Amino acid sequence: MLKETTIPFGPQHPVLPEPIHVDLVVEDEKVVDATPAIGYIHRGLELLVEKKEYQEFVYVAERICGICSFIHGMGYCQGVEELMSLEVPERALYLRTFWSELSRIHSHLLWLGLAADAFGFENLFMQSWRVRELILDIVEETTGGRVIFGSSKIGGVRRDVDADTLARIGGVLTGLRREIKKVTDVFLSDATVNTRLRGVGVLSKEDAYLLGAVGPMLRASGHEIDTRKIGYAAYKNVDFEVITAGEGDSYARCKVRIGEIAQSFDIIRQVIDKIPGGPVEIKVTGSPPVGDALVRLEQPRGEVVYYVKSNGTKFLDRFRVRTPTFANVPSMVKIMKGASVADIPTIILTIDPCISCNER
Amino acid sequence: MNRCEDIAATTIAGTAGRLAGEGYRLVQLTCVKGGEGRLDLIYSFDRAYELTSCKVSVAPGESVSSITASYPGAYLYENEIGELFGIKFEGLSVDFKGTLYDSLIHTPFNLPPAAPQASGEGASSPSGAAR
Repeated sequence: MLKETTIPFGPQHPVLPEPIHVDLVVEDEKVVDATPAIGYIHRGLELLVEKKEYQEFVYVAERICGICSFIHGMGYCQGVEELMSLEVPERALYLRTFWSELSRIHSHLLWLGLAADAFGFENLFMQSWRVRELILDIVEETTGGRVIFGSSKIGGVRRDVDADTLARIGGVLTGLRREIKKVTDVFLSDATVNTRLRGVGVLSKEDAYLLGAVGPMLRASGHEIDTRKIGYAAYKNVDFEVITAGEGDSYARCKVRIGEIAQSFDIIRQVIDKIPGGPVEIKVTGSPPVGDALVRLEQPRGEVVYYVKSNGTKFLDRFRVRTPTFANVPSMVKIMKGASVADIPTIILTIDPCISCNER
Repeated sequence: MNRCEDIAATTIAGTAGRLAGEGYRLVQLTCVKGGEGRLDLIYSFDRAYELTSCKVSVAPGESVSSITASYPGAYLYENEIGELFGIKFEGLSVDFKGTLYDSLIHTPFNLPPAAPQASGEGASSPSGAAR
């Protein structure tokens, strides 16, 4: 056996589009220890809340990340709405759910493509991103852009989607679901995918809980925990079961995300069927009263926490977001230990890291 | 904020141990400026979608016990708060020693009050000593 050697992994690495660094301590090909380093692109957005009026800050919150931009904006709005005891119109809550689930579908498809690329299945990467484009077309049609900016506001949403458009999108999604299933079936059954993911990066049920894992990372280790079950937005009015798997390995995390894509289609179908009429926003004036609020939402990558504290002026004292990637880093480090160096890129990818979220 | 209990800094490790034993998972740890120059640490835990939080008020320079013995994943929160706010955590299982963010500005979220602006030449530099 060789003596221990430290290999710097990242911050720039072919499989990762965003910078994260891990010092891997290896013996031969086996990783015996790993120390992460983040902060390469930390932007200090949380501190910016002291300099932007609370209504303006929605635009900053949305820009924490380009994938779950809508959910970041919505989470911040929910925090301020709780502070100000605002009652958001029902139609707005349904639209928030609609865009949240579209975000989940395209985020999971993005991840499937990146995963396929990481283990060298380029055709599958291409197909995953091809079908993702069709979801982004719906996002663009209903929000004005491929990245959802400017649709959240405190007290509701800025845009409505008329009934005819929603009905037509419902029909389009039915066809799209079949199209996406052809791609996801390959992930679940192909021998190459199975070889690269099964038994790799196993996170035990106990470790997932103690290390604070969230989202598909937590659910793939057997925990039936999904923050949408709290019932924020319109989730209290839709039926869905928490998708779980018991193996805790990279394949299980892939399987959970694929299950959640299908589930998001079901939730969107229910939203389209149940969305009530009425306004999509209320007028919000004045400043939030002195106090604080903490809200939790389920992003594609897992539970996200927003904390807001007001001093009674138009400028908040504190905005804090605990992103799912931040919560999943300790679990990622845990499953790296004992893994083969060749599996490290796959392991990092299966937590679906969003460094942009992490470097808020 | 719902269900937030004020507790003494000396009791946080014991409280975390009790909650871990009762099946709570750590949801988040936040630091926020409190009154009179103090800092408030807010710990949140969840069990069956019920959130319970506790707040620890810390004076500048005061140390707080780490909760990593009960919640091993808490080291990332504690290192982050240590670097951004300057709070020291005792018994931290993984200590990055200030290299997690490696910020050019020391404790950027808790800067000391700006020194009075000197007139004329040699005006003072911005608060927050650059490393």
